[in-house]
Amino acid sequence: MERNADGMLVLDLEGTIRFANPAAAALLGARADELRGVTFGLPLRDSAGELDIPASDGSNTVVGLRTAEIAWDAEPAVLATLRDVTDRHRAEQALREANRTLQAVISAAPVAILRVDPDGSVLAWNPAAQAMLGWSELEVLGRPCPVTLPAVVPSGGEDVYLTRRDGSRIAVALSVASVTDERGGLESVVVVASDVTERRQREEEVRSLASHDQLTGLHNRRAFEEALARAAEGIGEAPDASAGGAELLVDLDRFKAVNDTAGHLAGDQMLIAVGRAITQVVRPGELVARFGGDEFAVLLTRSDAGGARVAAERIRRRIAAVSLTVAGRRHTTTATVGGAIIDGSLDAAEVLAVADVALHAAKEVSRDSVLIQEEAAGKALELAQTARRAHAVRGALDAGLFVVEHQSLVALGTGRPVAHEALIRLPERDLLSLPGEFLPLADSMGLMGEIDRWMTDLAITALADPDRPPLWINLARTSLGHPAILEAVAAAPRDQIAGRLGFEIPEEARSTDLARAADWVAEIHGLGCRFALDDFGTQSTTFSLLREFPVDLVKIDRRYVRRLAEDPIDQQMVRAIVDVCHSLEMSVAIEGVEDEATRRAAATLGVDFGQGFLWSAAKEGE
Amino acid sequence: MSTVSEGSIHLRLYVSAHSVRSARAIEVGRALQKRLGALGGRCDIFDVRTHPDLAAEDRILAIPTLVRRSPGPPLRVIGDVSDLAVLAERLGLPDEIMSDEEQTRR
Repeated sequence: MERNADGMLVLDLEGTIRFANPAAAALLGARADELRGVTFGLPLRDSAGELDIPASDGSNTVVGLRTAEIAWDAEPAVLATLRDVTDRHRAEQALREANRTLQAVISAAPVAILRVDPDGSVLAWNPAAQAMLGWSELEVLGRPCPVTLPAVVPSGGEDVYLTRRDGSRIAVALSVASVTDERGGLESVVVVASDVTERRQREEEVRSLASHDQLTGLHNRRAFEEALARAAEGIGEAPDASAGGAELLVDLDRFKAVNDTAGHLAGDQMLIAVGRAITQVVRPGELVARFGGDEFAVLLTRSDAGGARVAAERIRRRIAAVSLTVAGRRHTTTATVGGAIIDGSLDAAEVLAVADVALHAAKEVSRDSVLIQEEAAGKALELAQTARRAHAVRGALDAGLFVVEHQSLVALGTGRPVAHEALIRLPERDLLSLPGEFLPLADSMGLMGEIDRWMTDLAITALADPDRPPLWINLARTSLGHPAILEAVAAAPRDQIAGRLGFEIPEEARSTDLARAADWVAEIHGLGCRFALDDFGTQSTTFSLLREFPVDLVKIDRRYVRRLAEDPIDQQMVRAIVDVCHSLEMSVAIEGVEDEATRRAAATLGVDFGQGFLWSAAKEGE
Repeated sequence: MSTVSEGSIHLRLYVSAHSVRSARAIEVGRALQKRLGALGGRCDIFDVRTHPDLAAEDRILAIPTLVRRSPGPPLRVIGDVSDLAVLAERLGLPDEIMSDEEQTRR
């Protein structure tokens, strides 16, 4: 008995200690013989639960007490067994503390935490779960989980949508942990869900910034082109008559007038109003975009040419009804609409280009009008070719892919080249297209200014070589007055261009064009560049131009050159031009010289320079 | 039914306020204070940490311990004291120390 690890006391019926084993003595902090005769007391029942045994040093021992009736020295007595359970209590207390801490963490967690048993009944439901999902802990504890959880939780962190008590859906990031029992069986599943709605909203805002026009809130050009590409490819992959669509380009007429007379803020208001007007008359789901400036685009779904025309008309009429009053003055605008059909035969860039061509064609006819690409196959093919070419022109300009050929301008007196004319070519399907084949299109696309600026830059670069003969560049009528060209010339080293860079102005440039660009011409001329009048003699008014503008060289139109050797009238005409030009100190050149007879005739008539196959064909400039 | 004169009942309950194991005993002690007080008796509750002198005087070895100082010879009960019926019988206390409900149940 004395070796027992449990403390043992023998008590008489008054609770007085008759015997204490060493373990009991140790527990009670006294020697065994000292304890004899001390009253310990008796419990009310055999199993008295647990007691604290305080020690004089302030420490405390917890003991479990059980009693049994025995006989001691032939007297009835009670055997009390004391078992030290302090360590177990400490462990339990630590566990309780850990539990309390865990509970506090779960309660305070900003994420919904729920625990369900394998049958789906809710075992735990924290306040964040209540806030996020709408059910209170009391409502769900012990009941089937009211939220449908996915059978498989996505591992890639994709959003999961949960349905709340009010029926609304919430995007959450979900993580799940299994709780196993001691035998390794599934005891419960802990689900942690964090609300990602706000994060998704922020992401959406960022996406929106990248895909939307800041002024009007409409999609921007990039987003539109992506959608157009998807539409064009989608239909191209699965031809389906009912799935066709159309692209409309909407360009405001005379919008600049609003900006100029009422100010940019009013202009902005007008653009916002127009964007809203377009959105009001398209079907839900159809994409409306602002392309920048005063150009808008609409992607129609399920539409043929007829439907596109109806939609375009509706948009045109609705925009005409938009009015804006600024400072008591009413401003209105009109729009011209060009459209292209998306039927799988053209890619997105081609559709865009066709719509662009249709828009410009419509503007040529009349502003405030509509033109949709015709359904007729021939026309469509032609438009497609135009579109491809437009695409090629745009691409060549963006990537600097034009080819430039040079043709010599030869002094008729000496037979020696004195300058080169730079001639632009468009590489298309292994061929070089001539300017007449693509420049009118480029002009209709409004690209001539950019193309001529590109040519100017190229010429200035080429002229950095001091041994190179002077270069002449052809300018489009619409490039006259283009600030980018003046900018390029003004930025070039003076000695590189002075007397060496020349611009040929086409005959079709009317005197009004030149009058409008007079300052521009004078400024470039002042920087030492020269000007030539090209194809001279085709229009009767051009003689007067010679007096008004600083022309250095006049190039006589080919019509007078073809039969110059034998036709006395042509000879008289050329002589007259030469006389006038020389009296104004201008040089004269003829183009298209193919034989020696023509050269001799021209030289005799006083023509200074010649150009043509007699000397050289156009060669790619090095 | 007790044979002891009710006016002379004097109990001392030794507890440790910090111990969860004393919590129930303190509750019982408060009930006894109230009911014995009504009968002219008393029940003092002492925390052994704040009254080590009294605990030493009564040679308290374990907590909780309820000591009957009077009437009659000293008697003591250790451990759980919440069963007032058994307690009354063991210490010879009147039935009134129990709640009405406990008395009825008896």
